Amino acid sequence: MNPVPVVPPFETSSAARLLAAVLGMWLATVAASSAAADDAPRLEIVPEPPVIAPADAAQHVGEVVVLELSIAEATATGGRVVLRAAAPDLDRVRVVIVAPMIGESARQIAARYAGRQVRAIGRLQEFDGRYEIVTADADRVVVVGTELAQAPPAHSAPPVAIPDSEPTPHAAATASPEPTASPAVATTTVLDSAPASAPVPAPVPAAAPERAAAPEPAAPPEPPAALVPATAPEPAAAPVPATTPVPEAADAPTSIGARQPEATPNAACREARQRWQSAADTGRAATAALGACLAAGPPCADELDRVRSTMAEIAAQEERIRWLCDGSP
Amino acid sequence: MESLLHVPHHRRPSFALLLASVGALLLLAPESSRAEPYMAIREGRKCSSCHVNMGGAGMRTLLANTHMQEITHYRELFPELENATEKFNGQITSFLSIGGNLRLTDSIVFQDEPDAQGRVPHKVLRGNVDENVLDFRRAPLYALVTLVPDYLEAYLDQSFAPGGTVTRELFGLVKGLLPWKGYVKGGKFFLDYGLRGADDTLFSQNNDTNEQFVRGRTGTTFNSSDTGLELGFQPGPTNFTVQVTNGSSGDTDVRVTTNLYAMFTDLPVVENAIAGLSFMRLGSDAGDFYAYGLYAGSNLGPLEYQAEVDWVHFGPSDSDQRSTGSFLAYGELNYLLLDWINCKAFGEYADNDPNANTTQSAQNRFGFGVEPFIGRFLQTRLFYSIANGPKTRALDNQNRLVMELQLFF
Repeated sequence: MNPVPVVPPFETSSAARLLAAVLGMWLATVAASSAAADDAPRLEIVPEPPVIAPADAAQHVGEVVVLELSIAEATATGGRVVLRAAAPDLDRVRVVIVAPMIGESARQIAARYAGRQVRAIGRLQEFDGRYEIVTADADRVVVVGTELAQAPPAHSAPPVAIPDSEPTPHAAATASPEPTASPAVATTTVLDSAPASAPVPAPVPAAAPERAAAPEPAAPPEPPAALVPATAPEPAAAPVPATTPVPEAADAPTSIGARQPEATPNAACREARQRWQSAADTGRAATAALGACLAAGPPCADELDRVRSTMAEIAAQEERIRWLCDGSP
Repeated sequence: MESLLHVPHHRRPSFALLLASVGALLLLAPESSRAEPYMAIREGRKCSSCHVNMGGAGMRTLLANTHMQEITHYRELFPELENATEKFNGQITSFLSIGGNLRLTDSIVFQDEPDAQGRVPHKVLRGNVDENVLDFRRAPLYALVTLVPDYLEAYLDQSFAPGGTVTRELFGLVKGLLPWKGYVKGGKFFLDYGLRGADDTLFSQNNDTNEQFVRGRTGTTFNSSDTGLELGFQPGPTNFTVQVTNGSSGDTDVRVTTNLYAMFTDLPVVENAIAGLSFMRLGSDAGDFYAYGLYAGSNLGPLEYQAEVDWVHFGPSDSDQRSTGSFLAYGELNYLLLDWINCKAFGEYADNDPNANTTQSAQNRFGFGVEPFIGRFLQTRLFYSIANGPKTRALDNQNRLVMELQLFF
């Protein structure tokens, strides 16, 4: 009778040792990687998106870029916000924000940008000779704090001004159809020429760029540090040639969406708070007017429009305060 | 042979009644559409410009939805829709969007009765209404999760009709990380082969034997997808993809599909032009299937034209058996009438045997029609097709009056 074969015990222990060794190596690798994570260089497969001006758009079609431009006109129609660049790129460069169904309306988003200088990150595309970034995330289009002093005339049908004393010459919400084949009721927010009755806009921060001509390289515009990519080789102001050097912000985040609270409120922050206060005052007046109208009876569409516009302006100013001040409204 | 001669007789309504019901359907029901090669050529854009799937088909990109008017040349025929202040844009949140195509199709089938020998004549016009097929030709819904904008996406194309729920596409897409605008797609997706138009099954509804032309014989209709990996590059005007997918189930081999094309724009005389070639090998235990073909297209203003020729070849693994092959061809003309009504004429041919000198088994199909976009979300189609094939196969000798209503978003 043959003895029953028995598996030598060393085979089991050998397999266990092998398993333990592999597991140990894996754990050691994970632990070492974790320990060294802070010092390890990033795998730079994708270069930091370059900051470009509208004039350079043609050279970056298909690339992910940070497009910096001044918004001459913001139009909300069909759930889309169209931000058109200031002259001379009015018909050539634009940013389109497809407003999600959940969240701010296209109208509210549009009010945030009119007349302001923004940075939009996304893939630059060309369509019928027009260069544009199309995004569904309004957080990828941020106001960088400087504003146009005066806007070129609106490109589309002249907006119908709301008889209202807006707190700022910016963000005058109007209703006009966009010249498309789908002329749904649209909201066009443009930078008006400052009406005589409008308050004088707050002074531009000292570091604001000259818009008519490129500044000297030695004194480039100084955008908020939170919005400058660490490797940004381009100037902050849209009309400035892309080759103009710009100082790097040492602590600047690498993403346009990253927020970097400042230690103390600067001039731009104070100005944003003043504008918020003005918008709030106008909002109260508009709300009161709406209340009176509702008591008197219809129609109240105009009053309702004013309330919407002022609320959007308040929201826009709060967004600016978040960026420019301490990270919270 | 008997099965081939079987002709379905679900019902035989009068022709007038059919026309009336279809006319009412045309007026009342919505219809959808998909961007097609003729639009890509007319616009001088690659498939990936307008579709989330880099190879075309399915959900449209933000760019395409933003420029729907310029691409489709739609006319809002209904004032109520045109004046609506709020319209759905498909974007649920900044990272989640949905879309869909609902194609409701009515086909009036004209077919002659076989004679005593079981044969039907070749004809241009046929008057005998054999069948009316009213059904969804396609009804997929799309969902796109943008995990990292511009770089990483997850996509689902789920079909709900006909034939129940089927996942047509489900993949992850990484783009923007490779040189030459390269991307990697992993999951289940359509096969990227040749010019793939939305009419792939328009004239074969409820009759699979009519899917014997370019799309059907190469297995690249929008009813067929496969699971695997796709690697693509899009430098300059060119587009190159390689797909390695599972292929036939139950074996150790795979399917390899490649497609290379270039889209040239702003050319003298003609505006845009496309030229490309495709190759597919599907290995299986029974033998290897090969398909390879060339295609090209161009446009002269509103006139667009395109053509594709393919050769398919099956080599049995058993060396005693003879390999078989056939030649396939397709061509179409599109003309944008009045800047919004696309008029189309097409012809296709399949030589269904390995002998180029015999035509007994050959099939051909010609047709013409219009397919205007009647709104931001609506398209209609009205086509007439004439198919002739082997006289012993009645199903291959049909005329069809096809009306389709499409709702898309």
